Amino acid sequence: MNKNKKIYLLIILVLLLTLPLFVSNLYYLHIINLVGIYTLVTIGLNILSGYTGQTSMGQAGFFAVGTYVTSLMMMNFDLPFFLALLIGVILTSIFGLIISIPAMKLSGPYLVLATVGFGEIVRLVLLNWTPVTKGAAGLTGIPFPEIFGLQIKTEKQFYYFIIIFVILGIYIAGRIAKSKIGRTFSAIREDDLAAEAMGVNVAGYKTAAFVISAMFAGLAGGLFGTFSGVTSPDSFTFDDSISFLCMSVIGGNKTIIGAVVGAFVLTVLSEALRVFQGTRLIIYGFILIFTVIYMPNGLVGIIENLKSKILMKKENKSME
Amino acid sequence: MTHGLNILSINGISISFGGLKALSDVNVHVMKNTVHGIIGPNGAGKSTLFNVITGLTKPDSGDIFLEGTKLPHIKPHQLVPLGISRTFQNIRLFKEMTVLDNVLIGQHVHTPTPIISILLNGRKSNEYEKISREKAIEALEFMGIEDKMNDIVKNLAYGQQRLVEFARALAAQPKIILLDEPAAGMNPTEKVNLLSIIGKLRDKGYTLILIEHDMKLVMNICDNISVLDHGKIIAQGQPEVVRKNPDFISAYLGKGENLNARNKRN
Repeated sequence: MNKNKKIYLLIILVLLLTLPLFVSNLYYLHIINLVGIYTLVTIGLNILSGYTGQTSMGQAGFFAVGTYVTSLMMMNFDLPFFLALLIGVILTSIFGLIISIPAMKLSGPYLVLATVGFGEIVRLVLLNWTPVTKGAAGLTGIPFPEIFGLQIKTEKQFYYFIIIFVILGIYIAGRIAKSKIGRTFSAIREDDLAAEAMGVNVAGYKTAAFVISAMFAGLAGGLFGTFSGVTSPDSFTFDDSISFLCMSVIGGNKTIIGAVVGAFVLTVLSEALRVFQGTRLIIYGFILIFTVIYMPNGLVGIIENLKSKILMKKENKSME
Repeated sequence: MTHGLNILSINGISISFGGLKALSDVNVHVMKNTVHGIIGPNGAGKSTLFNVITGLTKPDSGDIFLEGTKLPHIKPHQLVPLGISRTFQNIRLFKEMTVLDNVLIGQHVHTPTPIISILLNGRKSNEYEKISREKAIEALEFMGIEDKMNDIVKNLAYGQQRLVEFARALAAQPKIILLDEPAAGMNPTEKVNLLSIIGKLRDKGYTLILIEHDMKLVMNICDNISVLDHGKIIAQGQPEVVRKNPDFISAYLGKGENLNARNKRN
């Protein structure tokens, strides 16, 4: 890493840590916290669909499992938050493992349909397994997390709580993406037969991608439950899966930072469009079509393009 | 045939797709440290034979022996560590990735994956990465395309893409490299370059098996040739012997035509 990059990172870190001082409006802070949670889901989705090429339209299913398991562990067994979260993440990864088995034999639209099916199954189970999930009414009174006796309950406290997970998530995902593992994921996306012929255990790596994406969604879910305090199957519909996919594609699904950009833009947009509830998905649809056609690498791709253009101009000028 | 020199034996391989017999009782013996050509008209079963050797297609019957040991019916990726590596007829590169990354995937089985070290940006993972890069660059230098290593593969010329694929196969540190029509789409200069690369690899101790349509190239470089037609081996041996074989002449070149006429058409 060069010096410039380190300085930029430091500036961003300081900005992030002091952000609540500038944002006094609690509603805005709430949105920012949601952005953090959705970022985690989108990071997982980027690894799965952007890197490995396994498009999932059932990410809300993993998100739901994480939310419900973590919340129920805290509510029914009085487990401390971190233990409950750990169980939530592990269980969600097991779901990822299970989904990866049919996914091995499917690709393209067939895989997408299978993941849609998974998301719907989870939602229907939550809706109908009333003794445990309380059905359509959902869970209420999910406890707040506690660290060393300090209860996290205000928006500001949650901000710092969530941002730690997000930074950690970005770091870990970034390490995976830059390593041999990320390279192998990309190779599978580009040509899985050639990857197999070069000695890559394609089935194993696909499973790993599903498990990693499920882990991120499960982690985000655990945070979402305790952050919201209440949850119901309504938060985990097919629309939500589409939202996650939009975040991933619009932000740029071949980079980790694209997840942050996508989650931010779409969460803010969806809040701004709250008044036009019904037309929200139509607008999403248009943005998605526009993105896929004109900026296949998402917003991050556009920024990269601009950067390289400016650099070229500078070089040309210095040559003159 | 003497066993010591024999690196790959294909014994009685048969396979049929539906009613079509793609290969029937094919026997091929590849000698160590040679270039072995597999030729034949379109649809003769050459690529199928490659797919059987690399485990992509399971034969109905027959066995393959690598250095005297029978190859078990395992997944294709498990064959790479045993020393078999290949290129494809219609280039199969990772198009959106850089040339270097493509060749690094070739090294996949020889690079450990220390997960903890990767996550913590530890010294071990960085060291492995550095060694892999050095070896990958070595393979690229061998092909003479090290100056392209940071280019995205899809932006390269066709002939260069073939060399990248070759470099990727070489990076897997194989004993045997299978080349499926390596000269297809190359211009004459690139073909000369390819010939010298193949020759150099043989000198370094590799065994190469190649499918090729360019007869001039095949006759020039191959030590042994097997001729496939309709899934059967119809002629086998050194180029000089094979080119005089009447079966080969009638099946592959048509009756009454000579080699030069064929070459002009190419």
